[in-house]
Amino acid sequence: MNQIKQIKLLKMDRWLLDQLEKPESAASRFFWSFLQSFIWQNLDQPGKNQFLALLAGNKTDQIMPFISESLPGFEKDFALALGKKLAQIKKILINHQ
Amino acid sequence: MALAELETTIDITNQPQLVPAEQAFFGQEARAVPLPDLAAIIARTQINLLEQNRVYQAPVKEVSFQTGSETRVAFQTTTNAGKELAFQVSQTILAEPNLAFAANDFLAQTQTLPDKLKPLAPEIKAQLEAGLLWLESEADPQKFLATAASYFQSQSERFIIRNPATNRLRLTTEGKRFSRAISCWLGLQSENTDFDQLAEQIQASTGENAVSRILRKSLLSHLAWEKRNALFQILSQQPAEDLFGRQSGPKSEATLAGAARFSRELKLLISTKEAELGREIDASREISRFDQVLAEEEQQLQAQVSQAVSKPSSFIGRIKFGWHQFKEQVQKEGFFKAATPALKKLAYGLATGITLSLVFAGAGQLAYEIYRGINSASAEKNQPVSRPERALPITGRSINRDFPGRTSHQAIGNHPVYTRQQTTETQRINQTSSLSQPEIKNQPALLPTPTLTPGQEVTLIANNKEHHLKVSYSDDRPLDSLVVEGYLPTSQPDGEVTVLAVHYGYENRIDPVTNQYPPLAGTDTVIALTSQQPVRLSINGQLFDFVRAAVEPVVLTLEDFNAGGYAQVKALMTGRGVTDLPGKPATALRTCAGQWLGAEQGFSHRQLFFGYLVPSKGT
Repeated sequence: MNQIKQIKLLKMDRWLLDQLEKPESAASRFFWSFLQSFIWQNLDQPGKNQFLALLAGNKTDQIMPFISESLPGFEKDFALALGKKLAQIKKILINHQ
Repeated sequence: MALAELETTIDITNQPQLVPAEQAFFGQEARAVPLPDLAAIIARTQINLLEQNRVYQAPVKEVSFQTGSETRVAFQTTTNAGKELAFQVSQTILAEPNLAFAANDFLAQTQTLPDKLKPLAPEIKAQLEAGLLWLESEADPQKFLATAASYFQSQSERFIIRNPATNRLRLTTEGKRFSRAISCWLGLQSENTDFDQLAEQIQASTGENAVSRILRKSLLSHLAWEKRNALFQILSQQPAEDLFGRQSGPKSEATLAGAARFSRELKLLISTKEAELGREIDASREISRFDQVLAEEEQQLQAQVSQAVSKPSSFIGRIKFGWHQFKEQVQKEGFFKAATPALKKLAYGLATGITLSLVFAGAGQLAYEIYRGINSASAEKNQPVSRPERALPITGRSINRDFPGRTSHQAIGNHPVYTRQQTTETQRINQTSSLSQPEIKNQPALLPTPTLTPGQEVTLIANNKEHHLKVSYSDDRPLDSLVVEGYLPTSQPDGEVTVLAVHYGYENRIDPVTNQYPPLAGTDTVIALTSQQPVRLSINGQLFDFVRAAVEPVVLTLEDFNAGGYAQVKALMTGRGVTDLPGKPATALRTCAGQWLGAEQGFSHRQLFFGYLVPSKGT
């Protein structure tokens, strides 16, 4: 990968970090959707039921403790999956031209 | 540099008239002078002479140190400035102000600074001071960095200027020179780089100011990319094992700061690399598309979740509201100031992920599995029959991927309202074949296909002719999907395709070396092919049929390519009915994100057949 591509990738990273601070940005919305989907896919059936119950009951303060308890190593897996997903998108885009 | 005891001798070569002066030194009592000290004395002497307008050029490079058996210092100079310097230094070293040394002769030859050179004096002095800083601090890196930073700050107007056009700071020539001096020092250090120590030195010596940035620029410009990434991790004070949350709790605040610092370093690195290239890289187009792709991905993910919990609208509404509240709760203090320690770690995990994406540009097996799972879910939502997914292990856990493909009549769990009613078929499959390959409705079975190796010959059979292709790139994954790519002349957009390339595999098979999608055959493969003609591949004597994912090919014009890129291709594919299949994401569409091959040959239309390989039933 040449230097220009590297810089473009870095600029995307920088841009992404900025965009994540903005609640309505596409990046932010993607992040939350990815999180939601990732949680959903990793929970077993009883966990999914409980997750839905927490959401439907608006017990939002219990969501993260619940996830941490239900999915040990969740942060690592999520970070890896998200990072790889973004890397894939970036690689495709950066090779577009 | 080793310290040397010097028997100070002034050796003024090429100057016969000064031989007496040299001789005058013989017999003097030798004094031990550490070499760095001697160099510092020389530099100071030069500066003093300059301030007196007496010497306009007394470069250090004209002074060489000879530390052989004689252990002496020799001033090999032919200039009056050098002679003056030698004299002054000798006086300092020997502390003999009345040293004979043909002093009169020497001083008589000393020139004052010519008027035309006087404007340069401050710059010369600055150079000397910079050199002096280096010499003085040579044995003490910590002191060097601190002194250099202080000096740089005091001289910032001389070293850094603002470009009024871009409003960006840049180094002056003098600043670059100084930066190079620092880099030299750092270069010495990087031979046995201890990044921990280096980072500590920099952090201890500088703050987040212009000096810090310049120093780090100097550092970064001398480090390979992989080392820079390693440095970032150290700068964030997060050893690699901590980045993954093996230590929890107390680290959360530190990780938060680490993420912010990572962002700053990233910005710095971008500007550094741009400066090296001498121009500003415009990534806005890619970023714009990135935004678009993220929005599309978000829609897909939302659709998955929504479909998976297809329930009465009132319940869906409550779930959505709950999720919205959850997001607001987390975002209240800003994204990276999440309310719970877990989310703080999660936020940092995002930065970590990006770092990883830099360090490990190629997608690994784990990402591949995750990505395949996500795409499988996307495709399965259109499948009417519920069935088990292959369990994808992540860190030793089985992941339930049961939700994709859930139909609206299926409820979830034991909730009185949302009790899951499994179909008989689903139960049967779950009991008998939890690891079975996904069954693709209305598609031929996707059976394992051979693994290809570079150089291997594959025969493509089209139009009743055999075309022998050589695999130009491969990996250890089976050949299971294909893209037959060709180009059409503008005058005959519906005519025969001149096949220029045959690609295969998933998107993360992009050749890490060439950044191109792996072609099965090179672009010099010319095969006449119409859309209705069958295509077969013979691999190791085994025949495979190329089953098109859509009857009609996707025709892409150069204008499409330039205007919409990937999004346009995706829209065209969707319009043609080319969609992902379970376990077989139609990522071949990303193939189109490659170069517009064929333009040089005058082709303006690009025709793409997406499909899969299945064992041939013919002979």
